[in-house]
Amino acid sequence: MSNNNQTTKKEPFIEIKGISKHFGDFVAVNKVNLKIFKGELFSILGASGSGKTTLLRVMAGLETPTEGSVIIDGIDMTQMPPYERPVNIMFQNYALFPHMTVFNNIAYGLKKERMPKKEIESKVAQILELVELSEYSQRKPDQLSGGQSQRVALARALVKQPKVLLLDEPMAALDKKLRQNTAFELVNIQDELGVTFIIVTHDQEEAMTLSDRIAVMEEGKFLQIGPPNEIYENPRSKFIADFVGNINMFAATILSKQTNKIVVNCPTLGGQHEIDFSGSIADDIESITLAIRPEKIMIDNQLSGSESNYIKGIVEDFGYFGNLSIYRVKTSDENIIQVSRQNRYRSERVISWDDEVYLSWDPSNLLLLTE
Amino acid sequence: MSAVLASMDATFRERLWKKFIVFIPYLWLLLFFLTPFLIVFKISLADPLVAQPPFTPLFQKSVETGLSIYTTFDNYLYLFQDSLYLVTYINSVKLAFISTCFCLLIGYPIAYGIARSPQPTRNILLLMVVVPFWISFLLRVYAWMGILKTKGLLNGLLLWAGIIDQPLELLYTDTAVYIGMIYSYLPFMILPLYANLEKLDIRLLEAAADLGARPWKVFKDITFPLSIPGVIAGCLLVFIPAIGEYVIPALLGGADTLMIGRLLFDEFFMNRDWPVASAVAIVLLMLLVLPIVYFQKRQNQELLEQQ
Amino acid sequence: MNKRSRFIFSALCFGFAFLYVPILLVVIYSFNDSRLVTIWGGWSIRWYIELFNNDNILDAALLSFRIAAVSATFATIMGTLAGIALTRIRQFKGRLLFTGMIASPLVMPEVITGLSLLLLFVSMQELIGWPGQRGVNTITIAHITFSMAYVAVIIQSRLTDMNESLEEAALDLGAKPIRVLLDITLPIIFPAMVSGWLLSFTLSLDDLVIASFVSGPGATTLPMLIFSKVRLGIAPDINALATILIVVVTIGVSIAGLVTHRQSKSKKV
Repeated sequence: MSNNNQTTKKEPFIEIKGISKHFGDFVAVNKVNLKIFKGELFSILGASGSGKTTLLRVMAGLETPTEGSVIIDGIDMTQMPPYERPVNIMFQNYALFPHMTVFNNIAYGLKKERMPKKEIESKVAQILELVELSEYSQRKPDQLSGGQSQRVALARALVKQPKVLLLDEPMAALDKKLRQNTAFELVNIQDELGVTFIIVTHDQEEAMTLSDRIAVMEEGKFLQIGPPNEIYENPRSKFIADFVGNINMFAATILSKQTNKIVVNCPTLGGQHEIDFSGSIADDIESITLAIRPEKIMIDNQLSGSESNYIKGIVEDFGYFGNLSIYRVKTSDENIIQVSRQNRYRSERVISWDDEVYLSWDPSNLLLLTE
Repeated sequence: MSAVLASMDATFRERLWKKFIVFIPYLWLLLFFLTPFLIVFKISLADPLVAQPPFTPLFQKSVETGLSIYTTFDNYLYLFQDSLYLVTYINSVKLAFISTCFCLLIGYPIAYGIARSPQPTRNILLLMVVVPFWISFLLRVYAWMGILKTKGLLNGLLLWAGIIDQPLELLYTDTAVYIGMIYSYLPFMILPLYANLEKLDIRLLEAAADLGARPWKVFKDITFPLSIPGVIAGCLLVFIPAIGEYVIPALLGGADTLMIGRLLFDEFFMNRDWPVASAVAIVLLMLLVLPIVYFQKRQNQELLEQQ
Repeated sequence: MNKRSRFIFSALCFGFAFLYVPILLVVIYSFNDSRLVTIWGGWSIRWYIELFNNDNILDAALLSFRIAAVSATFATIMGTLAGIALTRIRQFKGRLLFTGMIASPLVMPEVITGLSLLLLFVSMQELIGWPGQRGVNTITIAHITFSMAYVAVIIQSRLTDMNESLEEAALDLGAKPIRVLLDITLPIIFPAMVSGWLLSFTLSLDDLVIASFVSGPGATTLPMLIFSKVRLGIAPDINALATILIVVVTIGVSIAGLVTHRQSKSKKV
């Protein structure tokens, strides 16, 4: 590696090169590539069966890949057994050793390193303080709550100061309130320790709140990799657009293509639209999907006059969520558009069933999706 | 580089330990379980001798012909020609089959009742089923001797109550053997049935009832079909060993209670005809090989399913 | 109580009565002063006294206990190894045969096992001069062989219930596979190993058929002795022996039940 490069780009800390994992005929992970940087909080987001857990296990060393390599901090660790890798896992079900106290659970990894007893004691005490469980050190796992168990699992994995921490669905077993608090705690701990976190989850809210970058995975392949807002606002496919958050999608036909714009006709959204688009579309494709997120649409009983484009519709249904309301509006061509709106005033003109409403939006909020 | 070598060493040691774990029980079983069957087969092909050991050896050296192998199917012919053996095999199967059915009929409601009991009654009932299981088989069969004999408790009770005038001949008959079999094997039927019924999700039954099914239908359509693995396990655990049972017919059966286990035992110890006893054992084994393989398949299947 | 629960309730009553009446009768008659079943001679413990003065029975009992303890220990060790091999080691050569051999003793009729083992010992004696005089050693070997199958089933069941991620966590934290076995797996399956030991002990203590086949002069086990006595008819001192066993088993099982009950109660929900 030459060291007189004037690279502005950072070197990846973790590199997944062409990793595949086959189970018999079934391909769980299909030649994936990934670069993760030091200190990143990275999420792999996918549904069940997408291959994300298998990929995690390959990174941990619990599975040997059928092909490809795993490089961490410059060292090829593909053939290394899990007990030699500077990688630790926080398991989904926490996997706390039931016959050991909290202290011994956390100390276990350090004992395997043959650390002197005094050093182990101080390190365990430190990490217990970090996760705020100092008084629980002599408890057994069956005496802990879900949230406490999770923190012990986290402490146990972090106390060895691994280069990478892998988290398998870290919040799956927690209830909603606890989840929010834990999310902030996790981010703080990661920030403080500077450890690279890789989270594997199916919960897109979890992925978006926690991560610096997300990789969306489906059927063993990565569909899109990027920061949360890029994934959310610039999804590359219909699948991703619908998987992460909610979206309205309507059929449209291509009328003309120019260098940076495309003109389409979308009956549902009121006719012709000009969209900024710098991607490439094959010449023979005539139909395309026009999409817009529910929160990007304005809904009102009357027009204010400043709308650049709008359509009329009838409220078919709505749901009141306290902080926001979600409306299902039927368009003139019998399609349903979902609109969400913050309830910004305590007393507000109520939009109710069968009301005639106007939907408007900023043209830059329209998305073109080809696949 | 050294990390790679180190991990290579580790996996080699790993593999060695794995081999060790498998090797020890495997070797033991090969030597003390499998090989004996091969020897039984070999001896079933020999002639009885008044010698130690009392059968002709497989390999014989003689000055004229050198090393030769001596085998004979005489013993098998003897088995098939003497109708006693055929009748005994059939009778054993019949007895085992009927006993299994009764065990199922009596055991299923008991297992069901325990599984549906609330705690802590359930644990107590379960313990009460387990206690006889841990008491000596032999002693439990012996208990029935005192009850069933002509001057025994049952007759005493019936005579005293005026239900009969003459004592019933129960001991040393087929009836006594049936009672003994059902009594001894009942825990073997109840425990696997219970294990299965206990796992039954009660919400399934509640869902069915909620959808309008009456209790009998719920049982017929949901409970019973789901309990079939337990039923099969229990039946196999009773039927297969019952065919070759020795103690119960020996203590409770009469001279005309023909069971193959007893016949084999007597053939061996009283007639000292080892080759014929071996042949009887091999034929019995052939009879049982299909149910045993079926049992093993199910054991394996259940193990894989749970993993 | 509706019709169905009445049926279940009566089935339970009948079933447990059926199971326990013979046992209770044996216990009661062990205190019967008269030798005959039909005559009640009053309460007495003479049969217990006779039992304790009977050297043959005491010797046989001691022998049976020795054999049971030794065979249970070895059966537990090997059955545990077999159970681990079958659940944790995914592939090895001859796995199918191994699975077959481990499951068979559970259902194999004892006359077949007994006969085959005896013939093995006789042939081995011819071939290599071992095991010589049949007796304690041969009975112990035979008991180990069939008991280990039961232990293996218990251990297999416990291991499949056990979360494999516990062992993976240990690997991940730096423990080599052997340490995982010693630090994590064995401590967790230890109660199952104890069950296996107790079951093997009982099976060995109770075995008549196999011991009859593979034993030799001078090695009479307790079941063999009991059997030769009761063949001839009722023996009241056997009633006494049975009662002692029943009491021991009942106490043992009750203690075990209480212990497991207390354990599950102490766990915080």
